[in-house]
Amino acid sequence: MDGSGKVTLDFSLAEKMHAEGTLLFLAELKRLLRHVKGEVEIDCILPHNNKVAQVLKQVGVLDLLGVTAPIVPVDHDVVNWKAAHGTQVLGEKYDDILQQYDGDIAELLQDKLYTGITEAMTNVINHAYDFSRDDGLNVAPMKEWWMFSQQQHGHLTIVFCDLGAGIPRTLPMKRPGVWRRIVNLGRTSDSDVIRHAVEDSVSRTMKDYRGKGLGQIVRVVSGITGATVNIFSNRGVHSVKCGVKPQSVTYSDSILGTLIYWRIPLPVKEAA
Amino acid sequence: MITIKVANEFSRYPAGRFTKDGPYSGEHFRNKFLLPAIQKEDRVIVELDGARGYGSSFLEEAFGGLVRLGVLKEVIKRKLEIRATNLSLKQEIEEYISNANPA
Repeated sequence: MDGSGKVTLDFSLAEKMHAEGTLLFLAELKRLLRHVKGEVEIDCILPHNNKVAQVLKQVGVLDLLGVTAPIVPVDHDVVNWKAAHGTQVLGEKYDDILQQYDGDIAELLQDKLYTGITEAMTNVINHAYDFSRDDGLNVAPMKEWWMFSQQQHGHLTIVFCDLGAGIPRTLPMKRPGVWRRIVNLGRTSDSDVIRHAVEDSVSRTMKDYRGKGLGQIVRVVSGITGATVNIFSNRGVHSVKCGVKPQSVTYSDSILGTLIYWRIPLPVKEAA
Repeated sequence: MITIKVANEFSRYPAGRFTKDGPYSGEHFRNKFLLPAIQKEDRVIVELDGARGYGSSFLEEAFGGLVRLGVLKEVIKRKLEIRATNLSLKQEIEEYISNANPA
């Protein structure tokens, strides 16, 4: 940012765009642009890397920034990036990004993916934005979510995020019983909170009719060798891989929200 | 007797718990289709096939929510028949009804 209040986003040295980071970046950018209402000029320096430029165009970043350069996504691993955004639980958005895989992935998996994604949307609308976001902007929250899908190296990647308060901040109020257990164990790091929230949700019986959504989000990968789901929330991440012991990590920085990352191997004939 | 084909008559994209969540929520389905049918008909068949999927929020609010609205479990169990290729959905709905409590 220079003295005039102009902001320049310099992508010149960017060499690779990861789906999860790109989705968070897009979400934050949209939120900020809405907040500054055109009062801050934001432009960008295009990447030298043509692939990165194509991705930025494909997912809408360049259009958001008003870039008029004639960049056309043509590479196969770029044009299959699909994006969706919403402020409600909208099942039809599933088809916007995943209908193209009908017939390629098993019907049962499609069913579990639809369930996991729409439960993630339901969590966003009912929980994620119930508390202020610790980013210092004091922006009135919009209950919104963003989603990408991408096919690469024989795997389908789906990323879903919100810019809400995060599971570690909402859980003490939303699930006080789970929070008490976490406090009693003396392990209250963000990754501990996410892990306990997931484990509690997975083990919930039908009697506990709320709080099963996280379980359905994780259950997408059950029984699929090589499939992974990572749940990032604020400073923590909890990773579940089919057939492998789950892992949790707490980082020094917070993403200020929640991001769910599914990575699922595609059948061999689709992997070429 | 009435047959409700969710995918054809309600939506291929059922999702969400409350009406405020989105256009095809469990609460909306319950209030528009299930509750009137249970109150009026002697037998209600709900066909689940054809929709993209059913999350726990949708199913619990639609079916368990009937109990919270005061419909007797015995009445629901006597009148309601769930038809679905995925048999676990039928079991899930039955458990939501069994475990729901009147508000």
